[in-house]
Amino acid sequence: MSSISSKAMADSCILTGPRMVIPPGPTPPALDKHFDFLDWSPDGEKLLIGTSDLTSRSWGGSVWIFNNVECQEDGWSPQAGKCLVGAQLDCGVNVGRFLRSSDKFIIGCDSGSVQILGTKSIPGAQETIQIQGHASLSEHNDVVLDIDDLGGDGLHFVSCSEDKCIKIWDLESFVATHTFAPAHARSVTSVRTRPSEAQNFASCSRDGSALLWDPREEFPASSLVCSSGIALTSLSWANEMTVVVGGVDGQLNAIDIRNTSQSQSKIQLCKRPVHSMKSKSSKGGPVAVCQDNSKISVLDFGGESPVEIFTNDSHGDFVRGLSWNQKHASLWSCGWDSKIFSHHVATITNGVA
Amino acid sequence: MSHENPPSRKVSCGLDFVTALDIRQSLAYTAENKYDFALMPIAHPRYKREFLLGKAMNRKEPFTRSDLLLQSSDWSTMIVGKISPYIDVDSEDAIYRRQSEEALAQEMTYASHLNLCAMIVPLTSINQTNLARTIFSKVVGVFSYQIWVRVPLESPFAQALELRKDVANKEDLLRAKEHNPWEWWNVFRSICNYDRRLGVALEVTPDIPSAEEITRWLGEPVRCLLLPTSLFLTNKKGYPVLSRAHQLLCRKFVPLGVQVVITGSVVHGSVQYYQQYVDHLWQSVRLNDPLVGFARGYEDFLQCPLQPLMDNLESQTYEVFEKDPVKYSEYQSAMEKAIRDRVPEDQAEKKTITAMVVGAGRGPLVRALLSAAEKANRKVKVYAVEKNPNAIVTLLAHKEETWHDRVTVVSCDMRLWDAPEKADILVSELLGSFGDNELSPECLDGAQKFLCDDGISIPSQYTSFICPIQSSKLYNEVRLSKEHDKHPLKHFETPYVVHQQNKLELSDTQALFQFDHPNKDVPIDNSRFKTLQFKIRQNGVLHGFSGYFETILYQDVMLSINPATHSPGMFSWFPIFFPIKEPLHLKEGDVLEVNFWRLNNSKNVWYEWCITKPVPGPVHNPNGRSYTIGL
Repeated sequence: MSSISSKAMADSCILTGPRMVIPPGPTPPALDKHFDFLDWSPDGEKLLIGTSDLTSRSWGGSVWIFNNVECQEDGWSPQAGKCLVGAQLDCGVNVGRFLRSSDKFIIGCDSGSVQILGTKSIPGAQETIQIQGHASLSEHNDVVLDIDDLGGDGLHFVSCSEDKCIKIWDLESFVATHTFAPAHARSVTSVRTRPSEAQNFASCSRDGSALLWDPREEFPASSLVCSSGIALTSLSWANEMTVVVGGVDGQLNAIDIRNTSQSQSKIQLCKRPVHSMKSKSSKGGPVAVCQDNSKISVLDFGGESPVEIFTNDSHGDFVRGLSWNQKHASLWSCGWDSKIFSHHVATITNGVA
Repeated sequence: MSHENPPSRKVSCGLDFVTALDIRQSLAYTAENKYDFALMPIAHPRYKREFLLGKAMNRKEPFTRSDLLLQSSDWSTMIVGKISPYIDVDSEDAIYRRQSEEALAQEMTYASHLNLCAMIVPLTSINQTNLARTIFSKVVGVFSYQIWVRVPLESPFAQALELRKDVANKEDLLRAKEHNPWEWWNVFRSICNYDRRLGVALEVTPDIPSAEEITRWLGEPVRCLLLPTSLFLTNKKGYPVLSRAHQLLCRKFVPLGVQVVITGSVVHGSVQYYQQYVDHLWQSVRLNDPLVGFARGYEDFLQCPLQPLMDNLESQTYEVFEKDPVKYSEYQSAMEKAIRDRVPEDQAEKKTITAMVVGAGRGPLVRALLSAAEKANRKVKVYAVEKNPNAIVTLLAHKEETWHDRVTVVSCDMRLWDAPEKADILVSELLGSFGDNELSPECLDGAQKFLCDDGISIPSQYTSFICPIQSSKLYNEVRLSKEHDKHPLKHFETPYVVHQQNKLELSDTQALFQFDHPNKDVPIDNSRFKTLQFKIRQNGVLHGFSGYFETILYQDVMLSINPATHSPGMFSWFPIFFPIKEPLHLKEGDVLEVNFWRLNNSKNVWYEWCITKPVPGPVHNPNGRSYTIGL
């Protein structure tokens, strides 16, 4: 039996009330039907998948880890039996990512909790792998919408939520070192750390604004995009000076943070909300985009104006999650059609491989 | 005399769920922790649907969980529905707006199918016209549930602004109208034509706005207070408590009968502690208002003013008024003073004065008069004049059993009575909530012919007062009292007697009409006309005027229902309310000019009222077409 005995829970007696954290039991019999995110481990050997059930009797979720060798490339429907390990959760799970190693990961739940989990090998006649809970941090008051590394040391991360707040967490003490409540006037839809300047991060919100943050300062926030009537839903860094912001109108704006007032380069995708963006590496590079539809695009912001270098429409429902496999240089996607696809994106433009 | 504890209210407390793994278990959890209801999303808060184009339109699955999971009675009594957080029908992007409209319609229709009692809809800016129109089209249509409009006390924009380094003029920005959540609500409900199914779910924020802002909210139909768990402090024993300022804030809303919703993650051990604390806080609010015990159930309930001159009062009505502990003791002390003034100490033995109680009812003033004479140790001959033959029965019974020769009972209208002698003191209790509105001036003018030239009238003077108020609750009550066979504006041209709870005074109360007795004017003219100007304290909406009175019974003995000088513990009068046809939006510093007339002909007396500034409006109740008081 694997059970999540949360360090944070034990230490401060923090319980979630209406959001009970049920410790995951053994690997559940099947994945849930709505695939919400996927993430390759830094070494490209393990795939983390988060799935939820959003429409039937029980609005639960589960997380799964598959070995690279089990993963199939074209319209794969993962089988529970083939996984390395899986764990049941008491609510949907919206975002998740490995933490600089392939045995520790973090997830953001619909209940507002942020959970730090890890895999552990149990030696025995047959070596088994369990998922262990390191902490369940229940301080957000609504659905967690995004999570990213912060600080470059692998010891801090930043989360944002439907509850309008941004929190910065210390991974050793499991406490929030900063809480910006509220950080925006409406839900904060994305937070992403700036490449090479890991203390800075950008956020965007349904209030139509995007902000650049430096938590070391007394007044930590400054404007990237001013409030408008278009809710912003996703962002990513194309390089250390350029952040790409997308809204419900399907338009992407590339903003030079040195000169936010100047006219920005824009590109219009399908007129559907941008759901998630992933830059190819932690330094930036081409940006993969999914929206509230079945399509995937990859855009290059390296030139004069943005160029769409790849598109794909294989999924049968909304694409929700994107991840680049660094080892095999491929882009992977998952969606509410319960399928996973991999894409080979030729990204040799402007000399960036 | 036994002192009962003043009454208090039991709180109705709900719990907010972001999602619920199993809705049945979640409801059980709600009940186990002593909560009365739950806020639940209609669809999963992340489950977006495609309504226009593409593969996702062809989903085979239901858009949310089945209605069979709960009994219909649980859906309809325990669940308040929440719309999905991404819905934005006021988006500038036309396609996203269309999708949002469809999603909103789908969720609202399903909520109606589930027969929920209420839906909660968040407001996030002043510019939500399309949301207002959409909601209004639902509530005027077939849907029967209430709409709770979720509004924060303080704009989250204002709070987030504190973190910004690139904004220099933060203060100026915050003064802007679009950052005041009350203005959001004001625009929203105006578009929805003040529909009474619209209420406010007020989200309490860490910072509390000014006292004036809070008072303005008290005049709104606030149905519920949302208390985030992050608002609670931890006391020495580890339990959640509210700061003093937040306690005071909550206490102000208790008399309005608001419900409470606890929202946010549980950070104090058990979710039950919040309910226990809130229940404790509610119980501790003693509804000390003397009117409360007597007036319970009459809050903001419109009643037509009594017409004792035209109609005879019922026994029950007399009984209620006779119980007032303050009114008759004040009358008695006024009468004692008057008696002592009429008869100097050295003549106490020989001189007998005559006192007449006109409109004696079942005799409370006669009793007070006899007690006053006894206390003053003077001889008084009493006449009790009453026009209601049913009350005469009681008066005669009293005479036979206790008063005997000291009192002469006269069954006659005081205006017609031919008195056998002149009185030294004339006592009456003919005042209405607006002083002269039960025709005390006309009655006493008729009765003063049998008062000595230097005789005393108790009361000797009374003055009416008015105050412009905001109360969408009262406005709605008035709107609903429309009667089919009457003039279409009758209900807006009638003053109402009402125990006003849900209201906000927009300016200071001012004196209107004054009457003195005995009235030595020749000829006597009881018509009046006065123009008053009110400086408006803060942005608000005028729904009408509250009316009060003060009276000098004799010398320094007074009765008052004017809030500034209200006689403590007296409950005989509720204020009066003069409505206006159309709510009038007013800004801080505006001058509101209103004209009031008291007019009469041989049969009737009536009031007319009319606003002339900042915007001129029509005269209400011309010629008394909607409301008169019969002579």
